[in-house]
Amino acid sequence: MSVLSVSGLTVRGDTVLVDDVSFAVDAGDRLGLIGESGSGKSLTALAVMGLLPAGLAASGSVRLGDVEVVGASDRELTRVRGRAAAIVFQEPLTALDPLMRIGAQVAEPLRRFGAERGRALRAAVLDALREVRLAEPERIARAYPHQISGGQRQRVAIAMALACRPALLIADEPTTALDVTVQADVLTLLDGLVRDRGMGLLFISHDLAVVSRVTDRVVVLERGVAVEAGVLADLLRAPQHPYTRSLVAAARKLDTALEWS
Amino acid sequence: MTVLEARDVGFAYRGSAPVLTDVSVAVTEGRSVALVGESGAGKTTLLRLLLGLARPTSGAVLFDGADVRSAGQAFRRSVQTVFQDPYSSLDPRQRIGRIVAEPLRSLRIPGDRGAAVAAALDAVGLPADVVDRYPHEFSGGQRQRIAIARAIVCRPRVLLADEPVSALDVSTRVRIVDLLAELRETRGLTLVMVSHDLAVVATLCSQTAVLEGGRIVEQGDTASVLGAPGHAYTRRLVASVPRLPAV
Repeated sequence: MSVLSVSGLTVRGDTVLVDDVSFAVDAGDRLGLIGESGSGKSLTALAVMGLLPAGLAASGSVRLGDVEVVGASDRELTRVRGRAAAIVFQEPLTALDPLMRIGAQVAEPLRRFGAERGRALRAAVLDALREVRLAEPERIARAYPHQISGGQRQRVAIAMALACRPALLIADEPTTALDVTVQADVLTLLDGLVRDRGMGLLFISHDLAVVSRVTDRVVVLERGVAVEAGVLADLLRAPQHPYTRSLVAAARKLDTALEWS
Repeated sequence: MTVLEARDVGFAYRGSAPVLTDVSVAVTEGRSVALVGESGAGKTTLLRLLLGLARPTSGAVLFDGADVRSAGQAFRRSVQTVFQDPYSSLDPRQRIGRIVAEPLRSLRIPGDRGAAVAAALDAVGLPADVVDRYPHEFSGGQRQRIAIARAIVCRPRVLLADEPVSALDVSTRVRIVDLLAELRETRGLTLVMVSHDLAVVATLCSQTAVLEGGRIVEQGDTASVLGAPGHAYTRRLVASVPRLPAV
């Protein structure tokens, strides 16, 4: 069964920003959404969560499990968010309250979705931090967001998303703001977590090499239109659409510079 | 010939741990240098010292053998800079023509300013009529071209660039890298570039210095530093770069 099914999704502001996009993600399945700035990939993610900013409206259909997101009330959406799908953004600071200790922030979704209290809740917080491979979970739990590194913050944001036990994890450029060695560790972490939990993954990125680390199937967006979809290996070998061809050529050119012989 | 050099440089903010320790890098004219490393490694601080924007706590920064902070006009004219963010580095209230001509004015370089601006714009692949437009009318890649035009308008010998393509989409990034490579060839420009993107470094710079925690852990020919790294940190850096699957 699909954990996410998007069909004919259109997002309009003053103009059409996402135009008739369709795709599906099954349980345990991974899909990459590829495109450059302005391609509509982040708006698609926000539309899936029912989080479009004021002034933008979605039409078509977005089904998270058995719930239709397009046209749903805030109350219905609150029930779905977190459990049916959780999202991790590029900049983990946007997901974290600067005035609240990390432990209290991780406890919030755990309490809401797991019903633990007191000592059991504190233990669950430390387990959640351990699951995202944070060393010294006790210290991290006591810290405020500004006291830990960018990579640690992104792990905390992932822990908070996972605390909801989501059927689908949406990751919107989750490693773009991170150093390359930290990025490699976070990608390995995500890859393992998605496999262990059998979640669906919608991974959004402009970077084909990064996407190839975590997914094997992609949709390519250009100015709001899905111009090509398929298995990443095929698309890298024989891109069909001119836009995909230019993306692959640019990525290849940079990649080739790293061949030493 | 060494044009710009950091010699045994150390830098610390008052009362804080050192940002740079015993850093020595020499830039030879015609051999572009990359400073690579991760956040907090001290790359940007080193670039600021090379630009004379800050004074080293110990050691010296030399331009043509003399201290950069006393080198004055000759230094300013010979060493120009391009920053990471093409949105914040261009004054939104000024027309492109005035922005690109700025170094000519502030350095009081005589001659036909209009012709110099037109030549610089042409070199970065922008049409001459952009001079009457404002920065907000341009995309990120075009703005970075404008910033590069401003940097080369006074025909410098060295271009210091701090992550000049990191804010750009990948296809735009490739085009700006191509432009920098072309300017390096046609104008004999020497690049000193801070970058975390090893593919960009490998394309543009024949020399690479790797910084970790304010120290240079390895430096030399890019092909040997990145192709056969000797230091554990460089090996980890190179191994972390996501690669496309082989076809």
